[in-house]
Parts: sequence; structure tokens; C-alpha cells
Amino acid sequence: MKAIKKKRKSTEMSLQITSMADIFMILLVFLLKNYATSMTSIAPTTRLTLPEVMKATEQVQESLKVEINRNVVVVDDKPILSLNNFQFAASETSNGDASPTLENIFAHQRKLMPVPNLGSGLVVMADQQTPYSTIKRVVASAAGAGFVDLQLVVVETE
Amino acid sequence: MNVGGSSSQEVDLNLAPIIDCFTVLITYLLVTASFLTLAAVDVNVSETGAAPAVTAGQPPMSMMLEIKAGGDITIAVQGGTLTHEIDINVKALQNSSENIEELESRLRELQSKWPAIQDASVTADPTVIYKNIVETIHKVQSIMPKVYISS
Repeated sequence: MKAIKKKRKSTEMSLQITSMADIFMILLVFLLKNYATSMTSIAPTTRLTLPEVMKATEQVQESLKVEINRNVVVVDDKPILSLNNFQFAASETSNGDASPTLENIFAHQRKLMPVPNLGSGLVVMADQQTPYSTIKRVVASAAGAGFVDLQLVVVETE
Repeated sequence: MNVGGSSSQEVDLNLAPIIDCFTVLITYLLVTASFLTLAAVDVNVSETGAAPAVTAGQPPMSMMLEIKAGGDITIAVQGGTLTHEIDINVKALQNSSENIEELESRLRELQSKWPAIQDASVTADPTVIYKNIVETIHKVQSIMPKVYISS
């Protein structure tokens, strides 16, 4: 029995995990560093393809967010208006350049701001295929409520 | 001298729980991380059809770019010492996309000729897609300090 016990002890293997811990530590530091700078809060909530631009230098500032895709306009992560292949319904196009529903929503959002009538920034995330007529209507509605500093979100390429 | 005694006090750190924590953390970070680099192109909104501000003397020089449906870009310069509006047409490429390189060289020419032009207003035909508008605005922005989009 003694002989067997001795034999078992000698074949016991211990995994050397110190180097593995080192690798994990490096990976963790790298991911945490990237995670801090990645703008997860402005990630689009709907399915859309953002336009690509080479070397856009401006960082996206936290502000009211509007998303435009083929089927819907989303303001502050809430679907507000349905679109039909990027086109507004007839009821939204009868009142000049702006959309009445969007104008009301933007005006309401402006009142909700910590300092109303001070911040005029608006983050615009639109699908790259959106026609100018739709962009113009959204921009006109936002401008009517005082949002005149736009940040057009793009994917930065090298 | 008891040299052999030191080996009996060797402490073996148990790394298994740390590795477990690291694995969970790395998996979480990899799943939630966004590898897209998002940036922004800053523009201001200008009102089309707004009455020009009444100023004494010459009106300030202004530049207006219009992107046409076929990819052509028209640059209009007015104000300042100019007696009439100057129109420049940047023809589209063969695949009907905007000739961004020529636009850049034209804008640089205009700015070196009239340094008073400090901003440009961009508008487009209703069917021009957002991708082309953003590309044009981004190029204009590399030359002009301030860019407006017409509402």
C-alpha cells in the first residue's frame, strides 16, 4: 500500500497557471482601457448603417439622441414616428418643413433638460441611405425647438 | 545554519479563483464591448429663406454648396466686394458620385482667393442620400471652420 501511495504522489500534476494569469491580466487591462473610451451609451438602438468617414476628429458629446432608420424615428430611445421606407406620413408633411409630432417631442425634451433653453446639442444617427428630404424635416423640427447644434454620428475609418 | 528550513515555509498562492474571476470578467467585456469607433461631424442649422441680417456697408461673404441628385455640386459665392454671385460647378464622377477631390481643390482655391469666407452652408436635392451629404460636409469642414446644414 505504501508503495502505491508513493507512486501516486509522484505522478500528481500541478498546472502552472501563473503565466495564464499574466495573459489574463494583460487582456483585462486592454479591454478595460478600451471599454472606458468606447461610447456604449450612444450605440444605436435600432438597426441602421451609419455612414463611414475617414478621420473624423470630433468626439460624440452626451446629448439628446435622434435615430432615423427606414421604418421609424427614435427620439431619446423611444420610437416616435413610423416611416414608410424613409418617407413621412402625409399628416406629417402638411405643415411646412417641420413635422408637427417631432416638433412637439423636441419642445417637450427641451423643457425636460436640466437647464432649459441652454443646451442646443442634438446627436443625429441616421441610416446612410436616408434621403435629404427626411433629414431636412427632422432637422427643421429640431431647429424649431431650439436644437441647432447637430452632431452627425459616423463610423470612423482609418 | 538551518538552510533546509526555508523550503518548508514556501507558500503556494492559489490562483484558480483569480483565474475564474478573470475569465468571467473578460467574457463579459468581450461580449459587451463595442469595437466600432464612432465619431461625430459637427454642423449647425441654418434657416433657408431667412431674411439676411441688416448690416451697414458690404454684406459678409457667404458660400453655399448644393448637392444635386446626379452627384454634381454647385458652389455659389456672394457678398463682400462681389458685384454678382459666382457659381462653380463640380461635375460628378462617371459613377454619379460626388467628385470630392475636385471639390476640395476648388474650395481651397476659393478660400485662398477670399479668406473672408469662414463658413459654408450645405443643402441638397431631396433624393440625395445622407451618406453623400455627410461625406461632402466632412470635406468642407476640413477647409471651412464652420459648416451649416439648411433646414
